[in-house]
Amino acid sequence: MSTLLEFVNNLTTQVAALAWGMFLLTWSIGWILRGAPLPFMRIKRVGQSLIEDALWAAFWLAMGSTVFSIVTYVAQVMGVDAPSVP
Amino acid sequence: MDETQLVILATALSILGYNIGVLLMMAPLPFSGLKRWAPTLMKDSIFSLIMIISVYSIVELIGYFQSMLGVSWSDFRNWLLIRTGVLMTLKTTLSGVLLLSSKFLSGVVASAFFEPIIKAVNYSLTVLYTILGIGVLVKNYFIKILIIGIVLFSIPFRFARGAGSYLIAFAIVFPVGLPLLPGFVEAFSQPFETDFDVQLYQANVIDFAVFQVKNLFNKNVYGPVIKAYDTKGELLFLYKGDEHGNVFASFPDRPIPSNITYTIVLDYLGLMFYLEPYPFDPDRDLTVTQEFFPHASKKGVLNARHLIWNHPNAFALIGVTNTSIISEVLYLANGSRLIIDGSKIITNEKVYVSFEKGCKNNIGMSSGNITVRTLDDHWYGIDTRTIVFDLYPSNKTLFIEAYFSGCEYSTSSLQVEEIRYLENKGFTFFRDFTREASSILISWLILPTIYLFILLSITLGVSYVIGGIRERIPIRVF
Repeated sequence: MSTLLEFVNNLTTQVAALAWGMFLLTWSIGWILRGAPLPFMRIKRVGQSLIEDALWAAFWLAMGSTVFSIVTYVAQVMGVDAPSVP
Repeated sequence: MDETQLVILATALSILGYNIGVLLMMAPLPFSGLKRWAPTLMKDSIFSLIMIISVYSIVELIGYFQSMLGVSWSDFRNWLLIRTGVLMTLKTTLSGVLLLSSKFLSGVVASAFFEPIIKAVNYSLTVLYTILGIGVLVKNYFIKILIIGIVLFSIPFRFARGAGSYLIAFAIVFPVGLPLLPGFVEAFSQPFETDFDVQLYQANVIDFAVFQVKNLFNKNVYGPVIKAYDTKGELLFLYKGDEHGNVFASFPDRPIPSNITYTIVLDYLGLMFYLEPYPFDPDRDLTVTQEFFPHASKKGVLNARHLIWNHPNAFALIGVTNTSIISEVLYLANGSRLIIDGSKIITNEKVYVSFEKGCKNNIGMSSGNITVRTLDDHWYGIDTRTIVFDLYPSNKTLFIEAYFSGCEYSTSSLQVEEIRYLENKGFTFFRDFTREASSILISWLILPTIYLFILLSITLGVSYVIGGIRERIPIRVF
């Protein structure tokens, strides 16, 4: 049971680390595609969307713990026992 | 698995789901179906986090519904235990009855009669015990079921979302709904009698036999009606016999008492004759015989001592109050002649000649101290006429004779409403078994099952509201 918990927590940390790396990768690829000297407009649009998504995702990633603590705070205000967040 | 540990696990799963969603959002896969999962994953994880936080308020909400509807687990348990107790008693009763009836019929035939009700009792017992078990599970473990449901609900990518929301709905609906089962069942069924008389069916209370009713000279009485009275004078049974004088008090629905002595009286053409053996003792006076198989395996011979003569194929009789005054009897098929010693008459004796009105009769008497009166009566649908000869002491020899022919009525004209032994106790054999079986089936098997299905479908609906996934039932609808 606790090994399952540990597994999930490890997985979460790994995913978070991977996410940050992925952000850098995607952001770079996005800019590369945007700046490529290829005459296809579609590539440019793909690059644009990659940049936007990567930026939004980075925002949400950073906000992750903040979102959880907002929800927990609202719950406390309403007088509910909140479980501890690891 | 502790509840707190499960809650922590669920929280961890939510956070994992959120992070996977973020990861997918920033992955450089421009046209991937996987990327569409990203916002869903994030929203799902927020929703499951809210669920986790409100676990204990859900539990309090369940408690609130329980108190609002007046739910009591102890009432539920007692209701079930009473009913299972009655069914167990009924089972022992039935095995006693089966044992009793196997004396008269082969096992196959007897079990064919009882199979429906035995099956009904067994199925009902199974269902009631199952519900009792579900009740124990729900009462003690509904919080854990709720939390396990939330854990399943929090798994990313909605793998176990349907199952999780079903468990959550189960933990909400069943603690409130299941204790209301007694109310549901009783709203649709009639109150039952809990007093199946168990002693009735221990093997010694009732018996079956054929009575042979005969007159003083051991000739069969044509179409007798016998009544039995106990020592307090209460009527036990009333049965009619056939043209051979046989009264079939036989299985399945015409029992006679087997553990008491009683008096049997012959009611013939409106006159009552005591039947010997007097009083009738079933242990002593019933003999085992095979001649009436399969109706009964015992017979009892009853003699009406005061019935001197009766017609073998019609309703006509000659009876006396005191057989010792008779010195000779001329016995013919169509009539009889009695020679009476007048000196043996002490104060007053009577000779009765009764016959059904349609008979052509030839009745004569000697001269002497005899007065005659005529009575007309109605006996079970047959018009009768009785000639009463009042005899007074005389030192002469008197005779009375009567001959009959051309009588119209047969035994099928007798309109007798039989009174079966123990009929007023509300339980006669065979007919009532199927009635009882069907009422047991409906009230204690079908209604609880219907209610369980109602609860399960409500659970399905609630789980749809929570989880948004319609459970696909793996049953093909034809």
